Amino acid sequence: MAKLKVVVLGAENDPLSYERAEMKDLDITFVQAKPKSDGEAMEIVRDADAVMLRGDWGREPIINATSKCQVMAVYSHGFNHIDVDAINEKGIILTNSTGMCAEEVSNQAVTFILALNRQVVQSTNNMRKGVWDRQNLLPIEPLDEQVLGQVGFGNIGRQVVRKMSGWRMKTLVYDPYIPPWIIKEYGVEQVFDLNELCRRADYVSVVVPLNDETFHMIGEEQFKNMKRSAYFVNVCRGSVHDEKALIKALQTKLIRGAGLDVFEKEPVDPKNPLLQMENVITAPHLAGASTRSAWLSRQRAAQQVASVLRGEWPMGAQNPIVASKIEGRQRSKGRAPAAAPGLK
Amino acid sequence: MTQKKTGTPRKIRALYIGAKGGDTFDPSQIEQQSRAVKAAGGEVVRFGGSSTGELIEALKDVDVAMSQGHKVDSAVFEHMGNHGRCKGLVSFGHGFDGIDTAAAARNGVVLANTASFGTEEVSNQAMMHLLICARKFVKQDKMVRQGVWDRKGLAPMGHVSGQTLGIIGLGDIGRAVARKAQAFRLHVIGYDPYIASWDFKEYAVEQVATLEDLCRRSDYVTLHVYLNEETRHMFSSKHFDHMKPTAYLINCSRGGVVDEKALIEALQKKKIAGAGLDVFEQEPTPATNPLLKMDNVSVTNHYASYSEVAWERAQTQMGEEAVRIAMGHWPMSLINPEVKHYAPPRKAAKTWEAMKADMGLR
Repeated sequence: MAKLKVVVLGAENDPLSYERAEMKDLDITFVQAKPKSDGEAMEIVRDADAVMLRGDWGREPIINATSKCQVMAVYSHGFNHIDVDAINEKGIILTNSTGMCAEEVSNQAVTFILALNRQVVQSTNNMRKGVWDRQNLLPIEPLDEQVLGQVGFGNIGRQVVRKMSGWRMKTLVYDPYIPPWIIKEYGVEQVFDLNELCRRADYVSVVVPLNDETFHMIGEEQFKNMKRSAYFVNVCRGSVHDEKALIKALQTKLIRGAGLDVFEKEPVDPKNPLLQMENVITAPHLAGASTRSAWLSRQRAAQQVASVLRGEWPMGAQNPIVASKIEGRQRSKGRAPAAAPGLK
Repeated sequence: MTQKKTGTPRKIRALYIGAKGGDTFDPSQIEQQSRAVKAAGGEVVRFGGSSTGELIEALKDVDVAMSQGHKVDSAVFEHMGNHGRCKGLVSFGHGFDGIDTAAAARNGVVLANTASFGTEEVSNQAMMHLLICARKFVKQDKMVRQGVWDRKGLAPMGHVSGQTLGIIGLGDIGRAVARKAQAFRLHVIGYDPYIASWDFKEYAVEQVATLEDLCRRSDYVTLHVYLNEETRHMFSSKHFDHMKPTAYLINCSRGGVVDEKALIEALQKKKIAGAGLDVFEQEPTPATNPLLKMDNVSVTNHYASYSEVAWERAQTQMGEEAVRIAMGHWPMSLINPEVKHYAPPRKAAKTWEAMKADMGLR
C-alpha cells in the first residue's frame, strides 16, 4: 500500500506525538504547514489522504482543491467554521474531537447556573468595594425548587442535566432531534416548543452546534417569553443567541441576568454593554479548557483520522449525509487510544 | 428557529403485514399502530396474502411496510427501496431476527424497529434474574412451599454490593441495566466493540477489551445484544471456562447468542453457579430441557419486554416511524445505518411533535 499523506494545517512546530502514536500501524507521511495564502494551502492538500485542521482552513477553495481526501478532522468540538456543504459535496468525512471537552463545557454551564443563583460574582465584587449589605444581591431563590430548561440534548446537554440532577430541580429539555426514549432515561420532561421552555424555566441553558438552523435561535421572542426573574446561560457559540436582543432584554429587565462564555464577536470589545452589567457573569470562551482537553483534543482528532484511514466509519463523524456519496465502510470498533510517548 | 408548515401532507400508504403464518391481526393493535399514519392523512392497508410473490405485488403501491414479527425474504428487498415505491419496513419490537439487514441496505431499503420500547421492562427482568440468582430464590421458594424451613444448602450467597456485573452489549438496554445495577452498588464492567470509550465513561461503566476479561472478572454476566451472524453463539464453552465457578449467567436477549448445550454442560459440571434465562435456542423450550430441572436456574418465557405501557409505546412508535420513512426522513430507530451509502439522502429524524408541526398538524 502506498504511503498515506496526512496534512496538518496550522501547527508547523507541533511534534504531532498523538497523531503519530494513533497512526503507528499505518504507513503515513505527515506534512505540517502554516500556509500564508489559500493558494499555498490548496497546493499542499491537493494529494492529501487526510487533512487535520487547526485554524481557518476549512473553506470551499481548499476543500475543493483536494483530490483524494477521505477525511477532514478539526481538533475542536465545534465545526461551525467549516464549510460543511462543500465537504459534503466533495464526499469527504468530517470529524471533530467529539466529547473531548464535554465534561469541561458542562461544568462551565453548571458553574454559571450556581454562580448566578448564589450571586457569587456580584457578592465578591461588592465585598471588594467594602460593601457588606446583601440587599442588592437578593432575591436568592432555593435552586432545588426552581426549573432548569436545557436547550440541546447532545453529549454536553446530557452532562449538564446529569450533573444538575443532584439538585433535583424540575428539568425541561428541548431538542427536536433526540429520541424521546433517550430523554426519558434522564427522568426529565421533554417540551416540544422552545418558547414554552422559555416561559417555564428559571434557568435557560443552551448547548447546540452553531449552524443555519440554530443561528440566533434565542432572540427577542425567546427573551420576551422568559420570566423576568430568569437567567440565560450560553456556553456553546455566541451567535446561537442574538446579542443585540440579549443586551436590550437585559437593559429593559426582561430577564434578570446571564452567564456567557461566548459572544458574537470574540475577543469581546471592552466597551460591550454586557461587560458593564452587574448581573452578567462572563468568561473568555474557555468553557472547553482544561489540562486534559488540551491533549485529549489531539488524541481524539488523531483517532478519527486513523479510523478513517483504516477503512472505517469513524465514531466522531459529523456529516452522516456524506454516506450517500461514498462507499460503505466498516463500523468502527473502538480501540484503546495509543500511549503517546513522553506526554500525558 | 421557526417551525415550517409545508401545507397538506402527501397521502401516505402503509402496508400492514401481520405475524407470520396467517391472519393474526388484533384489531386493537393495528388501530394503535395506524394512528400516526392516519394523523398524517395516510391510510393503512392490510396484506391479505401469504406468499413472497403476493407480498412483492402488494408493496408496489405503498410507501412503507409495517410488520409484526413477519420474516421478510431478501428477494422482496429487490422490489423496494431504490427499486420501488416502498422505501422501508418498520418492525414491531427490538430484534429483527430473520431480516437480512445488509441485503436491505444494498437495495436502499430503510429498516426501523421500535427501539427502546421495552428498555425498562427488559432491564428490570435482567435485574430480577440477577437477584433471583444471587438470593437463590428458585430454591428457597420451592423449599418453603414444600414445608421446608431449613436454610441448609443456600450458602454461599453473594453480597451484590461491591460485586462485579459484566454487561455484554451497551445499547439502550445494557445502559439501563448499568444504571440500575449501579443503584445496587454493583461495580459495572462492559464489553461492546461498537460503543465509544467516552460513552462508556459517561455511563460510568468500566470498558474491558475482551469477552475473556469480562468473564474472568464478573460475578454476574448479562447479555444485551441483537442476534445476528456476529453474535450467534458468541457465548460458548470457552467463556464458561473463563467464568468464576461462583458466577451467574443472565440472558434476556436471544437464545441463539448462547450455546445452550455448552451452558447445560457448564452447569452440570459446576463451571458456573447458575443462570437466569428469558430466552432459549428453541422456543417454546421443551419440558425435557435439562435447564428446567435445575434449581439454580431461573426461567421465564421470553416476555421480558412486556408491559402494557411498553406494548403501547411500541405500537405508537411503529406508526410514527412509518410516517418518518414515508415522508422522506430517517427513522429514529434505524437498524441498518449502512443503507446511507446506498439510499439517497433523507431529512433528519425528528420527534413526532416536530413532524406534526412541520406537517401543519396539531
